[in-house]
Amino acid sequence: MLKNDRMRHQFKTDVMSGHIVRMMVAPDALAAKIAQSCGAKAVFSAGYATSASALAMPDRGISDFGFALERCREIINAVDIPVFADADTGYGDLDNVKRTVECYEAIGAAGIFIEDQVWPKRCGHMDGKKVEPTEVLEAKIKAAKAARKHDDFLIMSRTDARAVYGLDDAIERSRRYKAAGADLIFIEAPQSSEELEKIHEAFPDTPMMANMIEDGKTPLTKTEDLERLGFNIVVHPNAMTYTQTYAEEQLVKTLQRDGTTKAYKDHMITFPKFNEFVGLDKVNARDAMYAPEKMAQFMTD
Amino acid sequence: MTASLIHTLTSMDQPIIPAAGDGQTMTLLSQSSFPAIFLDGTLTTQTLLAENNQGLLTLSEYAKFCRDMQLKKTSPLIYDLQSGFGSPLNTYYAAQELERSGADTIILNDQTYPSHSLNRPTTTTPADLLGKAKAAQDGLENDATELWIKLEGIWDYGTKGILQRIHYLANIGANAIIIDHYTDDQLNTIIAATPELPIIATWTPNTPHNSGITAWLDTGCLARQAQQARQQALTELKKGSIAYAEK
Repeated sequence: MLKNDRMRHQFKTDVMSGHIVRMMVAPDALAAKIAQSCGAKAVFSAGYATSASALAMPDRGISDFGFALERCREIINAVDIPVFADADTGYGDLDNVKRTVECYEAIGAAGIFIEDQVWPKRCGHMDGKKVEPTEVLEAKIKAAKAARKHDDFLIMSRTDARAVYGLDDAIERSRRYKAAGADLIFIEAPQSSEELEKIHEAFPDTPMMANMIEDGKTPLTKTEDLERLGFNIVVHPNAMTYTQTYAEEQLVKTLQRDGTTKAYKDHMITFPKFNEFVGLDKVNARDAMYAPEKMAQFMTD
Repeated sequence: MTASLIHTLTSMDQPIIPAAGDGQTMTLLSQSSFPAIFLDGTLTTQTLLAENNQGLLTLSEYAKFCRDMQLKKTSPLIYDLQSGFGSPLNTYYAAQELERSGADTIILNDQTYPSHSLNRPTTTTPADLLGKAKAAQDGLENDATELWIKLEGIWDYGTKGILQRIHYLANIGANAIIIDHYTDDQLNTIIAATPELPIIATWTPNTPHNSGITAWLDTGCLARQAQQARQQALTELKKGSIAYAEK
């Protein structure tokens, strides 16, 4: 089985297993490789982190489909675990949704979510969100399902209606998105453990995702507790971005203050360890495999 | 879809594999029942960079174009690995990238890096070519993806050099050979020697028939015709006749 098929199949199996799948959002390929090396079973490629990493901009719909797709592709190519993707609003109308699905499927993503915000969207935990009428995402989910080539490329609906019209409306919308064909359900930014519980009760048989964002609207909840609440996926969207930002800020402050990075060196991976982590030895070994003298074996009469 | 492209071609009557380097041509060809379509490096360079030298086109630029085109795929796609975009190590990763971008068959040429769109390009040593061919093979995940080698140095190493390279490349497991920059006599000499791999030759509208060829690889017939049409339209535009007709 080829990698793309294997990753999609594995993700679907894991999500449907009854156990929760925990994913970090990786801002880039290196972060994804770190997550994999620490035992992550899957990673997420999402807008907040990509906007920050690619543009140093907030998640306000400035980073577009091209940025998101390319970043996701880089991540997929760097790891051997499934990668799920944030496809924002699908980047336009139904034609855009079709292209979005085709492209993410072609690069080997395990699936995508599409949301009902008005474009330009904003991070689900920011104030001032607006959502489209339910029919808009209903149609997009149907278009996404029609466009996908593999049944195990999962389509998740995301509603941001909790912040605009309340939880009951968000649940009702999600029911309609499920009826339109969504494989997975994501209600963004519930505001209490009770709301998380109520969401699960509304969809006892549908895999659900919870979003754990530091300083966000939803209380930070342990993975085990979310699993007990019935959630199948938990995503940590900003932690790697915030950690990276904090660490790099401290590093630059140290350099500005001391004129050298020496005092910060204990917080860094070493030169040899980093080279080992990114596979320098393997690349050098492969380089040596194709040296002219190694080709003599094929240059016989 | 392409598990046996070269066998499919062998079973046909010397088909022409058309070349494209832009979306409109790709769309036209994908609706025209050709056995495969070649996304040519030089034609793509003309489209994306407004240059004629394929060596200016980087792997990432070309692969992005290929990924967009693969969404329109209705028949096997053949991608241009040029001379591997660097060393054998680069060739390994380049082949991997092109396969990920939708290639069913990859063509590696034997020029030195960077490749050029010339009639008499500089070619590399057999050992370097074999290193790149082996690296390209190793970089491919799908056993069905084929590796064809385009030999461009007949003007330098002659038919003897071509036959020697074909033998070496057969040893390494390449799927087919493309002969470029040849004369009719040279092509006849190669075919008469019953080479160990299927032979494809580059093609232009005036290329004479040769019964020993498995298939013909177009070098941009449609693009040249389109350019002539544009030049004609430009002449009309300068005369103002188009504007007049629209009034």
